[in-house]
Amino acid sequence: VAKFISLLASGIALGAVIALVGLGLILLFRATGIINFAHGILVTLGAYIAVWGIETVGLGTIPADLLALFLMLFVGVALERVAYAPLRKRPQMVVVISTLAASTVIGAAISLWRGSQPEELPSPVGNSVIHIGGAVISDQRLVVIGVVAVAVVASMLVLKRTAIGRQVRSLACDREAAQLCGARVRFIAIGAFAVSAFFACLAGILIAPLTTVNLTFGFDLMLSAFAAAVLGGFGSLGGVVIGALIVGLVQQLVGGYIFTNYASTLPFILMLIVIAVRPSGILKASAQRL
Amino acid sequence: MPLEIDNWLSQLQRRLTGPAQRSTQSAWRRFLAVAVFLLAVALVVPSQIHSTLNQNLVNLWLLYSIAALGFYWIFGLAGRFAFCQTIMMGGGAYFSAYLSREGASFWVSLIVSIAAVSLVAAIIALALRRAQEFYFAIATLAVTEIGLVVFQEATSFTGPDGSVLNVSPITVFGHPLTSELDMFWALLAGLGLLLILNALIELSPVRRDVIAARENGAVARSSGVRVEWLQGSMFVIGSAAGALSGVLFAHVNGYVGTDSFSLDLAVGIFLMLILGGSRSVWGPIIGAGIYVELPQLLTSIDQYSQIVYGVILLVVIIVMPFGIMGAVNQGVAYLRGRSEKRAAASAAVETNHAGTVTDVDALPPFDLPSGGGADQVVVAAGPVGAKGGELLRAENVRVHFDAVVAVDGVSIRVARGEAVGVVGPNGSGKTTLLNALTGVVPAQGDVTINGAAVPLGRSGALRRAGVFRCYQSPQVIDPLSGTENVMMGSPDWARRGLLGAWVLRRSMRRHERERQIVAERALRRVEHSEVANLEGASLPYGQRRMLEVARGIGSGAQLIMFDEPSAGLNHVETEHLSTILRDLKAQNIGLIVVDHKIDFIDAVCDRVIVLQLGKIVAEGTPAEVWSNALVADAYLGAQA
Repeated sequence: VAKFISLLASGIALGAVIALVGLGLILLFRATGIINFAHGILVTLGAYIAVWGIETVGLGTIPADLLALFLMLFVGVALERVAYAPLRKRPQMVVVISTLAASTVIGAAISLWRGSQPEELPSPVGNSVIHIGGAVISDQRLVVIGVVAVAVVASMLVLKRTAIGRQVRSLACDREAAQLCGARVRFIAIGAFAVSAFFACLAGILIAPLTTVNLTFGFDLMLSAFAAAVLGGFGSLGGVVIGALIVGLVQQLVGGYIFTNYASTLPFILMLIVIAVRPSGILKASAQRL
Repeated sequence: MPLEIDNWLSQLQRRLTGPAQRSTQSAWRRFLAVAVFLLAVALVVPSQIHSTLNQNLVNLWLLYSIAALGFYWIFGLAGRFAFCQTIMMGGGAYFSAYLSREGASFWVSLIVSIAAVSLVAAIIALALRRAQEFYFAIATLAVTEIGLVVFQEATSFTGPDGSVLNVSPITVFGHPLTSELDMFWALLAGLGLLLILNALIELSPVRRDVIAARENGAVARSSGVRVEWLQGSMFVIGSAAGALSGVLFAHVNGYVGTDSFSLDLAVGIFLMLILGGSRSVWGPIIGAGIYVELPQLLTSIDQYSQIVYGVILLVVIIVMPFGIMGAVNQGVAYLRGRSEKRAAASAAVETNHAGTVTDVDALPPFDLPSGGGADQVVVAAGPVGAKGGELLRAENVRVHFDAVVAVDGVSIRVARGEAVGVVGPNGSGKTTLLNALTGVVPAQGDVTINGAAVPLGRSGALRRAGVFRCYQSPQVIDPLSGTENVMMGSPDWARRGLLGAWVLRRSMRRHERERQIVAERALRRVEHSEVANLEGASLPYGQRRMLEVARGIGSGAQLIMFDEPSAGLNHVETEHLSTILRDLKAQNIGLIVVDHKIDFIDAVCDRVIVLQLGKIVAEGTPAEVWSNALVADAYLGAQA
């Protein structure tokens, strides 16, 4: 039973982590209509900046985390300027390739900067743990769950209640019409990239203490977040959270008992099944006028 | 003696190539280019190997070229954004290494491995056949991740940690190829084979249909192109080429490891195709060369190579959307003094059916067969009945978008040789009705064609039952020529797949010639023969409009739906159009005409249906309908 509870808890925590990564992806997708394949490397970069803040600059954990969050806003803007702005008029799949290229560049830059040794990022709440039903759960996991809840609710409120949120929603619904009505497309694109990079960094610095930081750290999380987004019907914030919980639980519970060696493939298998069964998904290209 | 050779050559030329005169030349050039390329590589490489070239790198270039050429089929031609080409390479390599370890000969390993990978690819293609763009990209990325884990974990199959050492070398006639130069010849032979297979594809209807499916899937599908099937088969053969590359990789290097097929290489393959040019077969080969050579040029800054790749990829997609080959073709076109507009869009497009059939003027005057006739044009549905027999019966068609009911229980019947007009104010559901019938939007209702039920919601189903739809905004496939655009709507679906391209070429060419003749006649009928060889992208609105109509005429359908065919046409053009439509009626073809011009409807239609807010408010002869007060209300608002 202790194993089950511990697996359940880590499943939920993993789900929360994936949801946090997915949140940035979906926000960007809603606002710009593209899927950012560089999102994973942004997660990694955020964690590395925090590590750098602690080890090189000599900051404490929390100031280093804040510094990373702040710097990542600018990374987001830079990414938008370089990999998205020049291609706004081109087919969306072209932008996917450009984000992929940006991901390669950032990844190579990190490996030049920090080398390929895995690094540790301490937790802002220390290494204390609590005991629930015989299972040991670290405080850091609870922090992750709390932050995700706050981030999701805050994003939803912004989308529902503010003028910017309305513009983002209208863009997600019908880009052309929204543009014609004066939605500030450029401004929103820049903002969305910045916010999305911010969330990527948030995910990075919260998850890194639970594991080690290496170059593929964020990429693997991004793939799970893709799976979560597909399960949740690509586009809704609530959907990605539910999808992320499913992915986290399946990976921990199913992978914890059977399929141990192949646990990491489970989200992808789930995702393939969903795509095979519901091919058009919710992510249908906006209906063509015929 | 020279005469004999000449004869033999022209005979060969005829056997290999398409129907028309000019297309023969273009075909000839394609094979010539392949021959020149192979010859140049065969001459240059062995002589330069000790001075300027590194044999190992040349071999790697050929290996990557093979994989990238496969990716060109998947992404360049079919437009499928697949991330799993490296897994297909890895699959081929591991399979073959495993089989060799179990004692199979090289050739058995090669063939079995490629077959196995093709089977896996076919299953993936089937599962993902309807996944579009992002979904397909993400799903194939998932396939890659699963594949990498499997290679790592299935150690009894792959080897400890997914690495295999001492794979046996390539063996030809019992003679193992151990020197790098020997392997070079084997790899060049492999690439040469793929280049020939590619030339055969690009000189067949596969190219046209696959481009149409890539550019405008919905329209290709409703014209009867088997989009999923075609894209799936391109995915399978592209993956098979990846497997070939992997098998050769294993036997050339004697080693397979998971790091040989990492995500870096997956991005690298994108780089090769996009840098070289995704619209030309030479693109991936040039790109692979640059990918392999670049680190050599940058030895002093080797650690920056990934950054350099990434930056190049970014710059290329921003500055040169069609890569180096695109820029080259554009430059050539510019030097030839063509207009820049055409060049930009044409990139690597060479129209292979471009020529005019030389004897087109000797053909009998326009008489499109509505039921086969002497031509071998196959019309899908049964025999054509007498005039007035019921052709289409659609009962109680309903379309709703959430709470909005756009078409509310509309019934429509069309007899042979009858034209039914559908009019109504904007938003009354006219186009949606056509969309419902042709499966573009989900709908309920019962549809029968010639008494046989046809399921709603399946795009190709109605087309194959003999119904063709012309769209409100002309759906011209930009990279294809005018003739090719019309041929796309042909009712003759025989030999349009890979079997026709690679095996049954004689039969394929016969069908192509028929399709081409029909298309050119349709173009002459709309008096726009001049667009036959022009690229779709270069056509102005009026010509696009008439191209759409020509596609309908060339469709050999029993029932044609026209959606606002007269929109944007002037008085004379509209007059001409109504003559064409009356001619179609005279050939016993049923018509549904949605339009706003009352005079035009009067001139063409026997009956008119008036829609308002998705319901039929009036039905009858044009005269009856126009005098109906409800109709005046619908259009002009209630009179006080």
